[in-house]
Amino acid sequence: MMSPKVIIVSSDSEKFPVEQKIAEKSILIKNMINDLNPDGLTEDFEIPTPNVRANVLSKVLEWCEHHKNTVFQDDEDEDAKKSVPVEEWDRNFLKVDQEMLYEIILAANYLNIKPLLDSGCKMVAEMIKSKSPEELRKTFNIVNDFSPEEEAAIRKENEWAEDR
Amino acid sequence: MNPLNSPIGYSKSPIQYYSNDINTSDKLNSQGVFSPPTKSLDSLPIEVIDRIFQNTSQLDLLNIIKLNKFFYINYRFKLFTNVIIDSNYNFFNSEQESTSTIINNAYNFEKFIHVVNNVTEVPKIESLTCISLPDSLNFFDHELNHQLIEFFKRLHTLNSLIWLNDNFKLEFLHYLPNKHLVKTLVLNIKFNNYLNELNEDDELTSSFNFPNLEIFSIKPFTNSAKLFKIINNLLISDNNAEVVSNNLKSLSLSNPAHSNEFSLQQGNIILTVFKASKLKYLNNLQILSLNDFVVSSEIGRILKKSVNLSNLTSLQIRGLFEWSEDHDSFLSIIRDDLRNLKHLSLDISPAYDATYEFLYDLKANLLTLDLVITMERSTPQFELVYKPDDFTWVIKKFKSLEKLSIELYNGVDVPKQQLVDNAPSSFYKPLKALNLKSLRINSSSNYQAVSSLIETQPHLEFLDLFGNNASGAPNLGLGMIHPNVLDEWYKVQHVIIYYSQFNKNIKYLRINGYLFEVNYLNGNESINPKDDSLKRWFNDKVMMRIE
Repeated sequence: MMSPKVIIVSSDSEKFPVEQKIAEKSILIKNMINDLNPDGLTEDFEIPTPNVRANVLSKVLEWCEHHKNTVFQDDEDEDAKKSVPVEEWDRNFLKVDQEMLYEIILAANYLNIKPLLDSGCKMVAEMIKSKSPEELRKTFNIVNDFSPEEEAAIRKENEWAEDR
Repeated sequence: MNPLNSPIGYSKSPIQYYSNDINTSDKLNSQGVFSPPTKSLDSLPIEVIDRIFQNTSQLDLLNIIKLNKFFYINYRFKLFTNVIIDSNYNFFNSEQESTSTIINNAYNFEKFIHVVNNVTEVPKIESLTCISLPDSLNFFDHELNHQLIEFFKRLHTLNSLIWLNDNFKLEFLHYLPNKHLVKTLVLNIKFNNYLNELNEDDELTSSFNFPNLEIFSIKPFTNSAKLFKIINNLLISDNNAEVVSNNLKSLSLSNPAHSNEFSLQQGNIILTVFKASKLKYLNNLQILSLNDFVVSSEIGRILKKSVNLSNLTSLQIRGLFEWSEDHDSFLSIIRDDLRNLKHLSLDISPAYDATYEFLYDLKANLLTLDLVITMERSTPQFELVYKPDDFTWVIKKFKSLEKLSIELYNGVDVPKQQLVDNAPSSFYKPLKALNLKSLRINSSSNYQAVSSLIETQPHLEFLDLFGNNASGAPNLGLGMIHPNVLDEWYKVQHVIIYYSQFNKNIKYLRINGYLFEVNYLNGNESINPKDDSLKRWFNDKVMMRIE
C-alpha cells in the first residue's frame, strides 16, 4: 500500500501532494500533522497555506525535496551558524528575482523552515554588502525621508563606528 | 592625460567611492537578472529584517541606518550590541569579517565612550570584548579613567565582558550595574597586581556579585593568596557556592608571569582553588584550562574529585611542571574520566613520557589536538624511552582529528629548548592515516617527508610549518641590503609555492610566521602575502586557544 501523502494547498487553490518526510521540513506542517494525527497518518492529509502562492510553494517544496535527507545543525549554536556561508545548491536555488526571493523568505518564515529562511536572509544580506545608501535605496526600493540636516546629524552620531 | 601617469588616489585621479554603483544595478535590471523591485525591504516583517541584519557587517549597518527613518529608528542601536576593541583589526581582511562592531583606533574608542556616556537613551551593549587597545590611550589619564567609570555604569545589559588587554581595572566591575546578567567574565588583571587592588578587606572586592557566571577566566593571578581571593570574592562572593559551582561551564586560570619559575609552592594552587576556596564540585564544567602550575599525581586526584571530568569537552593544560612522588602521573589519574573530550591541548614539559602514555590510553574521539612535546633527556648519552615517531604512531589512532598541532623540541641537554628540525620520514608517515583540515607541525630538512604527508590530506585547508629549515637555506641575501617587510615574504614565497603544489585544497599556508593565501583561478595558482593583523585569526585555525 502506498503511504499516505500530505497535500499542501496554495492560496490560489493548487494542490501539491508530497511525501510526509518532505512536508515535515516545515515545522508548522510537522506540528499540524502530529497534533491532528496523534497515531500517525492513515490517509492523505490536506493542509491549506493561505499565505503562499502556488509558484512560491512549488519552489519551497523543491527545496524541501532536495534537503529531505539533510541534517541541519541545532539552533543552539547561533554564532557558528552566522559565519557559515550559504551552501552552493541553496545559492543557485535562490538566484531568483528579488520579489520571488522575498516571497520564498516570507513563506519559509510562515511555514517555519529555518534553514531556508536563513539561506534567504543571508542572500539578502549579500545583496546589501558594500553598497552605498543610494545604491541600497535603488536596489531595495526605499524612499529617503531624511532632510539633509538629519542626514548630517546621523553621520556625525555614528562617526565612531566608521572605518578610518 | 596618460593613464599610466595617474596612480589611483593621485589628486587628478581621485578614488571613486562606490564607483561600481547605480549604473551597474540598472544594467542588471534591464538584463532581467533582478526584476525591478516592487516590494520595499522595509515592507518585510520586522523579525525577517532582524534576521537579515544578523548577517550584515558594521559598515553595511552604517549605510542601512542612513536609508530612512524606519531603519534609523529600528537599527541605530544595533551597532552597539556587540563591540570588539582590537587595534590590530584590519577592515580590508575579508577573513575577519564580523557581525560585531569593531573599534580599531583611539579616536573611535574615545568617541564611542563619549556617545555612550552622553546619549539620553542608553544603547544596549550586550557584549564588550577588548582584545587590544590602541597604543595611544593612556590608562593613567584621570579624565579617561573617569569616562570609563561612567561608561561601565551605563552597561545595563552586559552579558559578556572579555578584557584581554593588560590594563583592566577591577574598579570598573564595581560600577557595573545588573551583574546578574553577566554570564561571561574573562579578565586580564595584570594591571591590578600593580595597583594592589584585591587587597585584604578591600571595599571593592566585597561589591563583586556575579551570581550567574558560566564562563570565568582570570590571568595572571600571581600567587595562591590572590587566587584564593579571586575565587571567593569575585567568582562566588555572597552567592550560594553550590549554585555558582553548578552554573560554571568554563574555567580558565593562568599565571604566565611565573611560567619559568619552578616552585613547589605553586603546587598549592589547585589545592587553593579546589580545596581551600569556597568552590564546590563542578558538575557541569565543559571547558577547563589550567596554565603554568606545578602538578602531581596528588593534584590529579584532587581534580578528579572536584570536577565532573566526564563532562569535559575541552581541556587545556599548558606550561605545567610535573612533580609526582609515586608511580602515577597527573595525567594518568585523570585520563579514564576524559571520555567525552573533543579538544585537547597539552604542554607538560618534563613529562613527555607521561604525555605519551596518556595519549596511548586515552579513549576519546578528539577533533582537536595541540601538543608541545619536549624530548627530555638528562644527559646527551641517555637513550630516550619514546621517540618522536612513537607520538605520531599514537596520534594516528584519533581518526576523527580535524586539527592537529605538534611542536617538537629537544630537551634540556642543550642550554634551552630547541625545535627539532631534522625529524625523519617515520615521524610524518603515521599521520597520513588522518584526514585533517588544519596541520601545524615542525618542518624538517627532510622536506619530501613533509610534502608526501600534505599530499595525503584531501581536506587540508590550513598549513603551518616552522623551524630552522622551514624556509630553506638563508639564501639570496634578501633583506640584507634593503631590509623591509616584503623581503621576509620573498624569502619564503618559493617554499609556499613548493608545498602548495602538493595539495590544491590548501587555502592558507604559513612558513615561519609568514602567512600567504593560496588561490586557484582558472587553474592558475596565485599566492598573496597576508599581514600580521591575521595572526590571531590564523592561530585560531591551526591551534587551540581557551582565553
